[in-house]
Amino acid sequence: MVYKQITIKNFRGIKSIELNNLSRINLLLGKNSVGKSSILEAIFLLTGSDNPNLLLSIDLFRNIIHNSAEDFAFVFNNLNYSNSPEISAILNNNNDSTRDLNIKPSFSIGESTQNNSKFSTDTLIESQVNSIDLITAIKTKHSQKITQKSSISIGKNIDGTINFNINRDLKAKPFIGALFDSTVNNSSADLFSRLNSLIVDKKKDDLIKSLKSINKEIVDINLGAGNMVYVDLGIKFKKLVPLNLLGDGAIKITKIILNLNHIKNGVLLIDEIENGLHYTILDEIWNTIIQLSEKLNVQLFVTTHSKEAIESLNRCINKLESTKGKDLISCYTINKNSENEMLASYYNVSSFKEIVNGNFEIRGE
Amino acid sequence: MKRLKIFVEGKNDGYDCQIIKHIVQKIDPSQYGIDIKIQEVGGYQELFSEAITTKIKGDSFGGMKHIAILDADSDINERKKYLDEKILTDDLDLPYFLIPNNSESGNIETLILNIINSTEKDFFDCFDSYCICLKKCNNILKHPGDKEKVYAFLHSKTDYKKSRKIDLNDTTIWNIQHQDFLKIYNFIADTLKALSSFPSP
Repeated sequence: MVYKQITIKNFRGIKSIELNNLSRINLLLGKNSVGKSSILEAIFLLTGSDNPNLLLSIDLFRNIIHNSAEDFAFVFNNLNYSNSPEISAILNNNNDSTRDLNIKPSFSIGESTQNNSKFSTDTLIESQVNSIDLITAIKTKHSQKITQKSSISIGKNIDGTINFNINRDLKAKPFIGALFDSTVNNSSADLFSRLNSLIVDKKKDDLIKSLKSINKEIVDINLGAGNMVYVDLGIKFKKLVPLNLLGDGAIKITKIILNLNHIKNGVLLIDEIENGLHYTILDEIWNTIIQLSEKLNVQLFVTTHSKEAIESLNRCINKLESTKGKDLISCYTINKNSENEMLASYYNVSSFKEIVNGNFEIRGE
Repeated sequence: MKRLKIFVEGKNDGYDCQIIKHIVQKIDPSQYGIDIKIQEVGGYQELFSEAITTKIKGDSFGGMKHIAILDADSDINERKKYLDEKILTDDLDLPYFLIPNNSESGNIETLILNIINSTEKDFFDCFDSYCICLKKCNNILKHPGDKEKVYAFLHSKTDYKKSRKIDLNDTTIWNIQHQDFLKIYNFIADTLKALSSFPSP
C-alpha cells in the first residue's frame, strides 16, 4: 500500500478535500460532478509527478485535447491560475514520508518569463501562460526535504498550432507506478504489451479463470498480429476470436487484471468500475481485485455510481475471514455544500457493512 | 430541491413508518419544494452508531435536514436525556419527536391505541376480558402487552398478517383528529414550513 492520507487543494473543482485512513482498496462515492474523477486524477498526478505529460493525459481521459495554452487552466480551481493546485500525501511506510506536489504556471511578460508568485495573476490574461511547473517535495522523517521540478512549456508553431516541450528532472528518482483506468484510455497496444508480459511470466491462468465468468467457453487467451488479443473458445470454433468481439465486459475484466499485474507495488485508479459490466460478474471482479491487489501489493482507488457494485463488494468482504477483511477497504462518500466546499465521509469496513446491510444510501443523497 | 430525512425506529415498513408516510402524503411536501425520505433505523440506539452519525453529518454537509420520530418508551425524561446527550456529543443537528405525543411515556402501540375510534370499544373490552381470564388461569399471561392487543385488532380488521398495511384513510377505524396524531402531524408540518423558508442548498 502506497498512501496513508491524501490532501488535495485547488485542483479542478476541488477547493480542498482530505482522505484519511486510506486502505488497500478505496472506494469513492458521491453524486455526479462532486469531484470523484478529479480525486483520481490528482492522485495520478501526485504519483507520477516527474512526468508532466500526465497533465495532458488527465484531460485526454475526459476527451479534452489541448488546443491552446489556456487549456492548462482546467486543472486550476475555478480556472484561475492564482489557485495553484497542491496535492499532498503521507506515505504508508515506517518513516512517515511525505510527498507534495505543487502545480504552478509561469507567465511570459514581453520578452521575459516570470513565475506567478511575483505577479497579481488576476490581471494577467491566460494566453500569457508559457509553462506549467510540477514541483515535487519529498520528505522522510530523518532526512532533508528533496525538491524536484519538471515542467511542460508551451510553444507556438508557425501555423499557429501549439507544441509542448517536456522538461523532466533527470536526477529525479522514479517513485512508483500508477495506472489510470478510465473508459477512454488504455489502448490496444497497452493491452497487448501487458498481456505479453503476463504470458512471459506464466501468469495468464488467473486471467483465463476470470474470463470464464463472462464466457465459460474460453479456454485460452493469446496474442496475434497488429496488437490484437485473441481468445480460444474451444473446439466449436475453428479459429481464435478477437477479445473485442466478446464485448465490453471481457475487455474490462482483462484490462483490470492486466493493469493490476503491470502496476505491481503501485497504484491503480479505476473510474466507474461498473461500466460495461453485467451485475452477475461483479463478484468475480471484486474477488479478483481483492486477491490480486494483496498478492501484487497494489493500492486501488475506485469510483462507482452502481449500487450493485457496492453490494457486490459488501458480499465479497463478508465472505472473507474477519481478519482479512477487517482493514481491506475504506469507503468515502463525497459531499459538496452550497459554497462548493467538499467533505469526504469515511466509512471503515464495519461502518460500510452497516450502511449497506441496513439499506441506507451510501452513494450520497 | 430541499431534502428532509425522517428517521423512525421500526423495521420493514413498521407501524411508525406507515403512520409517518401517511402524514407526509397528507401534507404533500412538494408544495414546499421539499423531497422527503423516511428511513427506518431499527432502534433509537442504532441512530447513533459511528456509521449512521457519519452519514448524517455527510448528508447534512450536502444540505439535507434530518429529524427523528422515536418511541418515548417507559420513561420519556430518560429518553430525552439520552437523546440530548448523544446529539450534543456527536454534534448532530437532529430535532426529534417522542411518540406518543412528545410529553408522555409510551410507544407506537400507545399512539395506535389512542387513535382508534371509540366505536371499536367492544373489541378492546373483549380483549381485556380475555387477558384477565388468561391471568386467572394459573397466570398464563405474563406479559399482557399493547403489542399483542394492537396486532390482534389490526388482524381482526384487515388480515394484517398478510397485508401488513394500516389504512389510516379508513375513518371508521381511525381518528386522525386525535390530538396525539395532530401533534406528530404538526411537528412534521412545522419542520417543512421552517425548511421551506431557508434558501435552497
